[in-house]
Amino acid sequence: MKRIFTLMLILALGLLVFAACNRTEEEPQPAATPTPNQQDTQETNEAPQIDDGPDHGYPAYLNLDGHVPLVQPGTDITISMMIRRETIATSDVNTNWMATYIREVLGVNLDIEETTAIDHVERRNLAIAADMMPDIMINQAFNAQLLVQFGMIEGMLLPLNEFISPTLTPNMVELMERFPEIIAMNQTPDGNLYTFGNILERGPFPMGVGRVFINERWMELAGVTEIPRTLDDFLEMLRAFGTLTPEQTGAMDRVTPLISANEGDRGFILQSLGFLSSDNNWGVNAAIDINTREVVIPAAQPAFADFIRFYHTLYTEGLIHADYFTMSADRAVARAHFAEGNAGVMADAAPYLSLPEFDQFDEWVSVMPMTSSANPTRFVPLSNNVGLGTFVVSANTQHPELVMRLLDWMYSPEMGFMSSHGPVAGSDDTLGVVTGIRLIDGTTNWYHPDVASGLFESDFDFRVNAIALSQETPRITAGHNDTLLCALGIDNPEPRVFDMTDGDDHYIVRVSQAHNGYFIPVLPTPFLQPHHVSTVTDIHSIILAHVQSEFARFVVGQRPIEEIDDFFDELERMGILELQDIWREVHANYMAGRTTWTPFELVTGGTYTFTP
Amino acid sequence: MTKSGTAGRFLRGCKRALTHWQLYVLILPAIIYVGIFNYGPMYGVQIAFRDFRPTLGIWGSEWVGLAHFRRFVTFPDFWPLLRNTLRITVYQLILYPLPIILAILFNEMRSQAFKRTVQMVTYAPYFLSVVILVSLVRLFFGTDGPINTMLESMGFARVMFMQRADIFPHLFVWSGVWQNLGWGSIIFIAALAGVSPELIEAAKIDGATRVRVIWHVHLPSIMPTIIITFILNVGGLLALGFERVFLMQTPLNLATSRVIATYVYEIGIMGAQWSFSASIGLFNNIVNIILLFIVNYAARKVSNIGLW
Repeated sequence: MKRIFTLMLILALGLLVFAACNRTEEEPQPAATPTPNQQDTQETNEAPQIDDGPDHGYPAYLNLDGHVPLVQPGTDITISMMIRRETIATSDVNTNWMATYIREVLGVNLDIEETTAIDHVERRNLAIAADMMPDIMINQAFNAQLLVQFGMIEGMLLPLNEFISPTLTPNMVELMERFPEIIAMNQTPDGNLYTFGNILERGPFPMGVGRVFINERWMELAGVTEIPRTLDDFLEMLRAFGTLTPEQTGAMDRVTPLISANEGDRGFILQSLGFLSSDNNWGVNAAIDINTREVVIPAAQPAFADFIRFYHTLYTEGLIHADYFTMSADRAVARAHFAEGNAGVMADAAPYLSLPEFDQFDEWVSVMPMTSSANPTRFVPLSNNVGLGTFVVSANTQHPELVMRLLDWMYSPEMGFMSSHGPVAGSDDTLGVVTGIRLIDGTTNWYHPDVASGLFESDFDFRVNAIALSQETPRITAGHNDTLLCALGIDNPEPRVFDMTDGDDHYIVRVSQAHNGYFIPVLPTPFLQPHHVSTVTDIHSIILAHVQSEFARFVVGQRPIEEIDDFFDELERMGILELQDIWREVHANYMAGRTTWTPFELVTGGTYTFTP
Repeated sequence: MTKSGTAGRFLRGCKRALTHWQLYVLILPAIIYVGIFNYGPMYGVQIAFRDFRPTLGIWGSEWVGLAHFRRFVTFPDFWPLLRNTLRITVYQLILYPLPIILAILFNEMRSQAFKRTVQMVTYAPYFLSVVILVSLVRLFFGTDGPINTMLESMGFARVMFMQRADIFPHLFVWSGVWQNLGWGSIIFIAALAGVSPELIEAAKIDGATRVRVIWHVHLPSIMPTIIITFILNVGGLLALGFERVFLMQTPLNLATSRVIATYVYEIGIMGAQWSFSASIGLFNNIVNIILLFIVNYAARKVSNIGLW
């Protein structure tokens, strides 16, 4: 009996193995791995695109006379997509206006898979590992390293440049001419474009990286007369906030001077210590030392000791929450503290997210860029106006031309505003799905009737749950206000007047006011060389865990501050300097191949117009 | 053994199987399930020895032998990861007798109503999802949680339970005990129900106290169950549940909460280094299998009870 059972199991196993073996027959071959030298010497500033003539040979089902519809009548093609949605998304994305429009007006069926901020990396990687990529992946955080790995090395991503042409993708061609940064930002060392990026608006109210807000009422109560301009002043302000009582501030719980909902406070303090970077809350990613202009890992620099001491002071004096290191895991807890009025300084994307009423968000102003004993330069990192990895297309897509045409439609000037605001109210484009957008009578300001009627809580809610296809649909927002106003019937639009009673407008103006004049663009993310990938991953993984753990221990007093030098020695033994050298080499190679990018260019904002 | 003898036995086996085909049909779904979900994926284990590239597939990817294993054992955090994993699993193993003790206590209870109530209370946490369980732990042991409030009211200082690396293993293991104790005792309750009443009666007539009855009658009777479940537990020594550790991790407890399972997730799923993470997972399994063989061998030597 036992033997029969064993035999049956072996037979079943054998059959399964046989079945599994047969699945690999039609696997496509990956692209050849370029050698490091090949990558280093690639000249990467040329716009790669094809010059298609009248005999382009594109599929007959495409409508090349315009984008509406994308295909000839009677065509039945489904495009699969993986999109990422905001955390407040509750609607079925298939019923949102943009998905409906693509299906009903453009004539393309969609098979949409949703991811969120929490699970997108996991699901993206599983789709790749299983070689089951959908036709398009939007907002799935394809960074430079992944574009090299899955585009250059694996050949899993479609080289878009092979399909960018005046006939097929006129909008993309026009954008590449207007914004050469698209190539600088997105071109991998093999000369291909595996992604295109969002082109973001930079005016009239540019905002830098790092959102930290101060409560003006608390400042008055604590006798703080102006927004701190140095790290020491900032500390003194927090100390003054710490003396306030719940009776004075109206806090429902104990008073905590600084509460963070997104860990952005640490990035802001690192900026004050002179590190230019757009994403460096733990100080283990590459940054520019603003004073020496060198690529550094902040955690390997002497100023990082000041960073540790600063937070140790905050913790021991009760200026940050006792649960500071556990609260970051649950943004809702931090936002509940904001809603209860327990904090005087908040690190969050915007105050109105937890304080939706005007008399609540109106109290909050943005911090100013600060100097410190380690850094005499006042600056704010300004993100690049061209995004990286906004979308990628699978190399296995059966309809690359249609996919590119669909994406090109997203980059049309109209979609710059329609993918956020929806169509103009009263137009056929609304499809009866939403009311759309219209002007406030007698003004050049617009509003969404569906929000005004209470159907949606805010413009953001309207965008996420009624309009958008993804968190950041591929698009160009530069100049979209003018396009929008023209669409609303204003031929010579004046610059938009921001409404300070609107929470979204309010924080944009406040942040921009504080940042304006101090912007320094961050460097574009360089593409890691394939032979560096595993080394960087290993060292980064160890260092990140060690910095997270030891920084927290220093701060709460579990490890004596006197051991900071030992901590730096430990990081050195773990290879932090090797990591720094790799990033320096990669940055140097990257910059050597670029002529269209000027680092450390100071950018100033435009003219302010808003209704107080 | 002759070939004809083996063939003969096989034919007899087939004949017997045909005679009792209904039984084999009954067991077929379970065999299919195990085949598909347990044995089927095993062919993929080979990616631990290859440089897996999705476009080339498992069989087409380059064979790199033990390269990923070497990378893991020379990885600077290898020993801390192993130490953290072993610390927690050995701790859990030490507490292995708790469900047995609980089962014996249930068995000795005279009030059926009280017994059922206590059983219900101890089983309930098993049905909580891991996320809910960890949220409860965070709430209870948070700085402003009821435990700290109670400590403060008793004159003690508040303790940062979630922020101390030295407390993490205790919090992790005992929250697991809280969740699984009742459920884990069911198998022993069932085994105790099978103890011969005549034996118990005879022991009592001979003047045995309740403790003596437990020691000399109950425990020896359920010893096969205890040993087999112990062997299975040792077999999963390094297979620490990932979700609960991951959810309970904070920057302050990483020194003890970073275990092999969380590293596999970090490097494999999040870092897209599938071959490397597969090699770590395989390393884990090989250690478990070796331990299983050793403990099974030892148990068979000592008590003549074993899995095979």
